[in-house]
Amino acid sequence: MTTDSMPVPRTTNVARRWKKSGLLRQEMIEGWLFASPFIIGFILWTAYPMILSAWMSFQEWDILTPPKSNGFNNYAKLILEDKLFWQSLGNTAFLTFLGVPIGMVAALATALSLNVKTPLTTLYRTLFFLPSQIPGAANAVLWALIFNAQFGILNQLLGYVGIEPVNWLFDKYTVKPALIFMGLWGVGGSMMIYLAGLQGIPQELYEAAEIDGANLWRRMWHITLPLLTPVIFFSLIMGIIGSFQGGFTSVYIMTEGGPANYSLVTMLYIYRQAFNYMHMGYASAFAWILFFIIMAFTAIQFKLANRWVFYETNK
Amino acid sequence: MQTTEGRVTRRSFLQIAGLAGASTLLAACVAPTAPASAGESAGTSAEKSPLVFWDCPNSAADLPRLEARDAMFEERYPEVDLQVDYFLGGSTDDFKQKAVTQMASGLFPDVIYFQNSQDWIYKGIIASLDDYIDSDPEVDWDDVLEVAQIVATWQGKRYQLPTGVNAWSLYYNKEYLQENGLKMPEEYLAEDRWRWNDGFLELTQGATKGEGMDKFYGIHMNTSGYWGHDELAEVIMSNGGAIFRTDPWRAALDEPEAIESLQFVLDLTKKYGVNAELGAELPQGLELTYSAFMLTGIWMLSSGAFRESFEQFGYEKMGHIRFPYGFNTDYSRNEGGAGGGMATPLEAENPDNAWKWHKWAFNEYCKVSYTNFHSQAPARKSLAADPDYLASFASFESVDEWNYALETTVSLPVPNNGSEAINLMMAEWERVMLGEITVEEMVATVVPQMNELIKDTPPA
Repeated sequence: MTTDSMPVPRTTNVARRWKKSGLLRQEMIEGWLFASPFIIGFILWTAYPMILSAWMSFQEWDILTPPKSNGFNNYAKLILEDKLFWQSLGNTAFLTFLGVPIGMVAALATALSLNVKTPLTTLYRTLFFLPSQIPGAANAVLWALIFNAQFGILNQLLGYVGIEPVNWLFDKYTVKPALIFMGLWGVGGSMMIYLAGLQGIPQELYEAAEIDGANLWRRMWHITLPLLTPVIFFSLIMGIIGSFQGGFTSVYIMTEGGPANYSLVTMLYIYRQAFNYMHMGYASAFAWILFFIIMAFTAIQFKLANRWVFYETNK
Repeated sequence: MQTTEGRVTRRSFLQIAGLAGASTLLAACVAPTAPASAGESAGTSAEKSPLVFWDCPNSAADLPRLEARDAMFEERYPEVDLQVDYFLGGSTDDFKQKAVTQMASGLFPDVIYFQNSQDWIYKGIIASLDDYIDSDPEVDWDDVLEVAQIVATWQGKRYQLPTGVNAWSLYYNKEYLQENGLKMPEEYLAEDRWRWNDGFLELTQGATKGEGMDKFYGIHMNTSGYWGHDELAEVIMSNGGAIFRTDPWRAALDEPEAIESLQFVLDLTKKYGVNAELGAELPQGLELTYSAFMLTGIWMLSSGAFRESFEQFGYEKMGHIRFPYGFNTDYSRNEGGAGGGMATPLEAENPDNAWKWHKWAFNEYCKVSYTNFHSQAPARKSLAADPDYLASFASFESVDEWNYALETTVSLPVPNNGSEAINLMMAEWERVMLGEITVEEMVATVVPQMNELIKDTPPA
């Protein structure tokens, strides 16, 4: 191979053109200017706090007095001594690995049932989507009333069929399932994404399959689901990340993490450590551990995605 | 502006966008200031000296009353530019978090709402008022109720001029007791039978009716969650026990008096069935509450959020009595926020104006109404002893009982890491209520953990 045939590095190429072309330079400046609101916002409100929290995770700091370095003590204490750290992780994992799949199935089922054209389809879609737009705090208050052991509507309905009142939010066996059940109220957001995915599937495929005699189940299994896998994958990733980072509003308002910490989720525990107990360094350490846990799960999912996610561009 | 055929050019657009962005950033970087209080004009505020006050109303419903209070202060001190920042939409704990975060960023008020915030004193944030109190002849420190004096004082220095006491005690539905042929609690008191395992139990058992969702309970004591410790403390202290002791600092749940008390609270639900199960959020108003007795503080009766429902129920139907005596005492103690009120941070820029506020609140405003600052009872002996003033307390007939409540109120000591220790305690208590462990097991587990957490608290 001669040197003439070697590809010129793109950076060199751009640099050369940069020197020659005033227009290109102007376009680049303008490009950066247009992107600058995001870049500045990202640096100020995301990158800087992240770096600061990484530093804080090695400090003992109560916010009001100067921080003191304490090496890896926060991490060691969390992992080796703090039972609530493990309990909150366990609770969050339960809510994630049970709640996310159930939520996905519910959202997909709703999307499938609303992916038909009837005069009232738009109305139904709106009705199913609306609850997902209710603020979390209002949702939590609403469901606290529904689950109330004494005068909640759920127990009243169960009473009509002879079931004794259940203390939904203050029983260790029912509190987490109740929170998962409540989460289904907000499947409207995911439902819209599935609907968009469903409408992106070419009709010709269904027509061809129908001509070939494929029944509804086969069309679903061999066309809908494979072509929907990118959307399902997206939903799974976002669902797991959201679940690990979420749940704060509902447990803060409805259960305070109780009874006996059976609904204490990671975010509530981080919040308590940071703002109730003023252990900002300790809370930062937990936040970073959570970050690495989420990153690991996301990486695993991306790795496994090759096996089951089908993109139309795939050969 | 440069235009090309009437259109904005890219260059001019970028110039304007850049300018606007820079202005927005600069505006965002300017330190926020508290909003000016009602009725104040920008023209006059420049000539006045400021007084920044961070307040924490019980609810937004209290705002009109508090704004009227602010107007009264401005009228009294026209030279002061009162700037009140109301923290709405959260508990006093939420307020503390917001206040600490703001103070950590270097923003300090001159006066700050101060309730269960003794840890701020340990951390050196709050200024001692000793010099002002000692040098101002208009302030009579000896008129402060002793319980409030104790809370306002730390290591011999006074950090507050107490304005109120949030006395807790028992409220009951007189009509319900009469309709069901039950004796009034005062009769048990007169017979020396107003004790946990005597008149109190007899009355609450007699008042309990029905099953399941239709059950009417003898008493409403919600002992779940962080704030459930208030109810537990009331019972423990009425038996001569304590959650924390301060001499030296330690968790005291392993004392026999505390263990007996916790067992009694458990029995009220599990054995006698007179109190609801864990987390049964009975509505607070007696007219809605499925209970004959309710354990609560004065703040709830007169606070905007609940006041309406109590008024609707009718204060005349409501009785008031001290919490019954425990197994080991001939008195009852009331857990409450003794000495609740205001404090001034060390970094306050206008401490003299802050003192004007403290003094005005102490000498003048607290006489205006029982719903003074935060719906608390007065912290001054002279007012607590005035029958006419006390009669304004929501038409309660029993002035003696009010005096008793005020005099026997004890504020829960707040050690370092107190919130975390209480949360640990309440989580283990919930395990007791769930039937997972016994009271003795709870105490054995939680006391060493609580002691470890509070060990760095400076001596009182």
